[in-house]
Amino acid sequence: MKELGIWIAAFFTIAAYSFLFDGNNPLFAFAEHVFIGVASAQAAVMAYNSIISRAWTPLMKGQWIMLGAVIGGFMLWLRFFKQTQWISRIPLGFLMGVTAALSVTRSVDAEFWKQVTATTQLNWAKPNDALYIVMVVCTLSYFLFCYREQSPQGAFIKKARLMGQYVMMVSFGATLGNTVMARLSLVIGQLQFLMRDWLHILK
Amino acid sequence: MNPELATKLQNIDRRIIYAVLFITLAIPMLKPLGLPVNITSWTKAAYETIDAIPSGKVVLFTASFGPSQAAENQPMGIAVMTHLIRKKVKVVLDPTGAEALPYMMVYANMCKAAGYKEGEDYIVLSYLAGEESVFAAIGKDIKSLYASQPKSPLWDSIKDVTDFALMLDSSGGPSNRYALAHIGGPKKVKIIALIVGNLLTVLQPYYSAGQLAGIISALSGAAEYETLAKAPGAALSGMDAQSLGHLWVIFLIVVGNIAYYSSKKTGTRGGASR
Repeated sequence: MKELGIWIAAFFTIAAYSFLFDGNNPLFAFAEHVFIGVASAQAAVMAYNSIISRAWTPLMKGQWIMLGAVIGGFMLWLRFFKQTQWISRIPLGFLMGVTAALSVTRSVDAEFWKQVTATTQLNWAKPNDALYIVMVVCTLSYFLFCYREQSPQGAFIKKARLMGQYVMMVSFGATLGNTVMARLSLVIGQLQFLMRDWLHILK
Repeated sequence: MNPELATKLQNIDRRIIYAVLFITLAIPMLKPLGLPVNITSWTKAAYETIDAIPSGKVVLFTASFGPSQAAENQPMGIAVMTHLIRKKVKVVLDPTGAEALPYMMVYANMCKAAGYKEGEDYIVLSYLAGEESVFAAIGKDIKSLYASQPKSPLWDSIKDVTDFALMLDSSGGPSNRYALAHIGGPKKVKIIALIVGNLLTVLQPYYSAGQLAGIISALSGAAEYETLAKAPGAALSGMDAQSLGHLWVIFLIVVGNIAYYSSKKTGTRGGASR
């Protein structure tokens, strides 16, 4: 049974990579459709199990508060009917409110305040830290849009903005480099699978 | 450069590019070159943090990656689990992504194979939908969140998320930041992020600020960890291929740019290759 699974996985791996050599060919299209079908089926089963275990079972055990979640879920489905579409906005608004509240309350500390504090604690005497501070200030200055270019301060901000632009380009370049590395890792993972588990030519 | 050659170089058939890439990646897998692995400070910090956990302590391991990220996330997860098992650290495995459960079962099987007892030394929690709200609930009250979890000595020993000596979060999305915001910051639980490569630049500021105890990034991070833990695995065997693959990409970038600028000078421009 395991061997059959390996053969199926190998077939779909080759079918997926066939796109690189022959564009949108029937083999690739077949693999693509099967993948979407399987992924949707898995997501549906996971969602069903989640509803049963988190809402339906507790509700049947007398936790009436779960009735709100079940009704909210049904209200979301009403968006598929023109006359009742507006009702789905109520649970959607609730979800957005909860998500915003969760993100804002905690993220201010974790993603903003702690980062600012850490930057202020850098040591100017260390070359790396000094460079870090200069780069942070220059990058922030790139987002200053209201200043007088003709004034001496304006000329300074203009230079700092240009520097900030370069700093951001370096950062985007590093992200792209890491993305290339990530994509190659995916290919290597699949090649290892094909050569080790399928063809048995790799230990 | 000869204008004709410059135009040809800008129109290399992409099938040739990919064929050479596949050959470049496959050869070092069959005949390893043994290129050295450079250890980064963030992987070393992750290793040292895990190595400092006393035997018998409990670690929370959350994962939200799926098949599209498994080639990156799975080798590092296996390397870390090997280290944790060797140190006899107990593990609570928590799939926070819908597709993560099969990978968590691989870790559970590693525990079983090493003689760990389910319920005493490791447990696998059930998947709960909700993403950020799940992390918020873990931080607030993990016991109420997983109220349906069967009783066991390990689960009973956990009262709060602060009972974990460390939290490991393996993902290809924003869950590391959810963990930082709802668990690392307010509950002061140490967090190590196991991430896909393109998230490294996003998370490095959190490591520099001391919010993350360490980062293990992509196949290279997994290979570094395998080197530090002296547990060679899939990542180390793939590193030669990765290095040669990068050389091929760099070669293409350099050649492409030279051809582009020389054709720009002569006024002959090549188009994108199909």
